[in-house]
Amino acid sequence: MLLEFTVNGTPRAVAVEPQSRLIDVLRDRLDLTGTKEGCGEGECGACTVLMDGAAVNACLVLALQARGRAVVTVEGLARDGELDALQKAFIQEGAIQCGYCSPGMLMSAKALLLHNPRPSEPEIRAAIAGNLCRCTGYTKIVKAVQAAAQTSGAAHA
Amino acid sequence: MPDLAFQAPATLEELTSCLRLAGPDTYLLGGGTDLVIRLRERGVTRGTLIDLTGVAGLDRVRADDAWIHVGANVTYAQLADHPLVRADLPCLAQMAEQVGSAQIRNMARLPGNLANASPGGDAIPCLLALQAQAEILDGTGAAAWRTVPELVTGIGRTTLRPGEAIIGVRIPRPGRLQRSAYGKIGMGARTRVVIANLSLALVLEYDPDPRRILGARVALGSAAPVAFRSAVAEALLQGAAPTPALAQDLAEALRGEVKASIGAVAIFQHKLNDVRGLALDLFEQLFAGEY
Repeated sequence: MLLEFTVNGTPRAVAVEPQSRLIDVLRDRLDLTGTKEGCGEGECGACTVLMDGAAVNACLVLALQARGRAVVTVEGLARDGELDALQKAFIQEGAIQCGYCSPGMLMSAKALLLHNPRPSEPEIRAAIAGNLCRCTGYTKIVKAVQAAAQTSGAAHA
Repeated sequence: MPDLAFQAPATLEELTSCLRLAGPDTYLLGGGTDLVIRLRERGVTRGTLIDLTGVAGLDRVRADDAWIHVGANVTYAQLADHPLVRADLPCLAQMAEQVGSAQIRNMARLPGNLANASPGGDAIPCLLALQAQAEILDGTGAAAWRTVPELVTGIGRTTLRPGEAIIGVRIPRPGRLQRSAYGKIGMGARTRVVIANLSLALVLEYDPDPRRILGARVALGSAAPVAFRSAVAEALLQGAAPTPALAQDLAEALRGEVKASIGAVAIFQHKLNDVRGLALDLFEQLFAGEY
């Protein structure tokens, strides 16, 4: 079946099998391999992308359920060759170690900041509760999200 | 060549037509957070998927004189944030905001919990205590209402037949005196994203003057194959005034219920402490500063 949707701002049309998941189409058909598959059952959050602005596990969404929707992957965060404030903050704060969780972590944080530009620490921790990181212990990730919120807030002011 | 068909009805009429042709290898797709895993585990490559998420009109919470209706496409995230739900059905909002992770809550919806009949389903004890009913549509276009006990009969077992779809849930509008709370305890390294090992919903009618619990519905989840109401706990609360002693008695009564249910199975013994703690927590939430 033909899947028509928007990926990182670009309209795409892809022939897909009904059982294909969104992550399969993003990685294998559209070569957007920034989105990672970890557990494949919604536990680890490595596959997190935005669908109409909300964080979802791309391993639990059938590709055809994205029809007509706007999907944003980690590749869609940078604008005009410049990294998003969140990506810069992750680098600055050392919030990345092995990097496998980072794309999902960034997208969960992005979803949070889209709806809540000035989150509290508990709100940040709740937003990334569905993203497992085995390296950092989360502290630097939380700091990076706080830093990005401040930067973005300053940019808006 | 094995084949899996994908149907995306846009209206209830189209859904009815899809349901008319449904068989044992028809799968109803909501948010997909359970079904997508199951399709992969079983290697399903043939049959029919009916995607409910595009059916118009099922994405709202609305109230009439007697009921609050939750459409089948209202996600847990929407339920948790809905002003009417937060004001009138606090236990439902509390349940919704504790389901899975943000990613899960953005996709998952109430009917999946009912249709999958998981013993760990967060929504089931809550809906049971709220005396909710599921609206079930079939291929003739007829809709019928089934209570939670009429619908969920065992682990993974329901009275849903092929060609029946849950298109919404309705909950009696609470009276002025209703108070409710929900909590769960899960095991694992994380404190937030947990599958319930024990969940408890309390729905009470309480008159602050003269400080009397006029009615009580108490439901336990993950304590038995199917969520159940505790007649012992309900009788204990009925007619009583909230006191610290009552909170302890409630905790002990529920501990007794769980003990009777789990028997001597060693890996379940932690549920005895879980239920005591939950009972005390929820009692405190319901009557903070009043006892």
